[in-house]
Amino acid sequence: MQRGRVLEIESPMMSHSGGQDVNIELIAADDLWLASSPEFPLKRAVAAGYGDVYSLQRVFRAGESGRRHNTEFTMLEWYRIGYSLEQLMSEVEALCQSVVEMPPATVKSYRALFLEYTGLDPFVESDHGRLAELGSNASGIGIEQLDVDGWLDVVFSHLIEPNLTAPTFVYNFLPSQAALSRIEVIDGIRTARRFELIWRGVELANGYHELNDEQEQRRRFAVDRARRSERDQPLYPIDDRFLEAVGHLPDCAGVAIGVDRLVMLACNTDTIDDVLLFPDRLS
Amino acid sequence: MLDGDPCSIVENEYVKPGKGQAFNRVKLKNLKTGRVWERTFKSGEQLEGADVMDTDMEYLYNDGEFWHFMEPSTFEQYQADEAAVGDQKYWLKEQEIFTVTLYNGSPLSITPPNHVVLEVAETDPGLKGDTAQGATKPATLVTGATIKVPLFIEVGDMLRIDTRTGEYISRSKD
Repeated sequence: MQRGRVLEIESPMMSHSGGQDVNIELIAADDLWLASSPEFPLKRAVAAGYGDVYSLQRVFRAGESGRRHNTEFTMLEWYRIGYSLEQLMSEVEALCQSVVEMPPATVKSYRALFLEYTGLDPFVESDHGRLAELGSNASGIGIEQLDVDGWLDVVFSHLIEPNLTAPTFVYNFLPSQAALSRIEVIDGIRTARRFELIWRGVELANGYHELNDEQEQRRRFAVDRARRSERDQPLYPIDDRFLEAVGHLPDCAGVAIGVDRLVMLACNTDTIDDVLLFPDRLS
Repeated sequence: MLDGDPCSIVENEYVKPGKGQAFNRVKLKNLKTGRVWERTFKSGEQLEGADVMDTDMEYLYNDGEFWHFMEPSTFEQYQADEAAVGDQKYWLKEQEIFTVTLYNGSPLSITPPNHVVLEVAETDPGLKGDTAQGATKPATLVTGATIKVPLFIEVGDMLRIDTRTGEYISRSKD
């Protein structure tokens, strides 16, 4: 980070507000919330003119504990002004290779991977029924139990990810999976400019060409919040200062790396407990 | 309980794409058939618990159809059928203690101790002094099990067997 002239920001561990992401639950600390990532403070710093910034810190996600998950884990997140998604992917690859003996990564779109391993196109609504069937057969989950995004997650994790043993950047997701990335029309298809780096079944990094449209960000928060209410999930206060900052973000790309997982790969283990002195799992 | 059968959880892995839904990929062993199933559940989904209990019991006898066991403290007797006993019948020895898995109160499966001592009923005559490494011959035990034994073993010898692998371990003086 120093060599790349990226400024370290000490981002708070606790906040009055939090993300609205449907699949990330926060941990309460008194009347504050523990950070699930440093994304909002870092973006506020970028919007305020600090330039390229990073944070290396602990983050917290309720209920995420397993072979590759620890409720609190270490995240390295950084933002690059003027970078394209492709430039940021190259930087992520170089950073990983400086720490781990990682072979060169291949770059494949989410759509190409589905076409390659299922013959179906997740961007085409008429294929969604057959994708649900595939997912139901592969997992044993009843066909009525999940929505489209749920089935895509099942198909990806059961039928595609196991094939990605070599490092692979998966990029250009469905608009419904955009999170905080921009949506662009590519070849006539609305595409979320987001990537993930997957290696040996481990999801190592998640990056965006950052959305900098405040109204669109507000709309997405509202959609996520509505889904949360529908499913009786907790609602976290909205960060208005973050929303305001989104509208002032320069053109930039940002990424977060799971540092413990990078260490797992460096140590050739598939269990996060092996690289944590005090893992949260009891057995 | 899964699909109407009692199961034990062999492995339970939490899977969650960073921005996606959390699942548990579970390996379950069907306690009736012994088959291992792989199933995925939405995290937090609940399954009905099975009324399954492991109890140590003494093996009494076989009446041609059922194998009879007794709970030593209550003297209560249970009869296990062919499906419950399966291949474990080859390791059943009277007065030995076995683990009987009860499902809704009746025997579902039997687990023998890791090692049992059983008598040889039939085998080719022993070759004294033949200590050739690894040379074996078949021997049939009083329970009907046929295992590979060293050449010096004779009819009437008591053998210590590993019930998990069905392999000969040693001769026993018991």
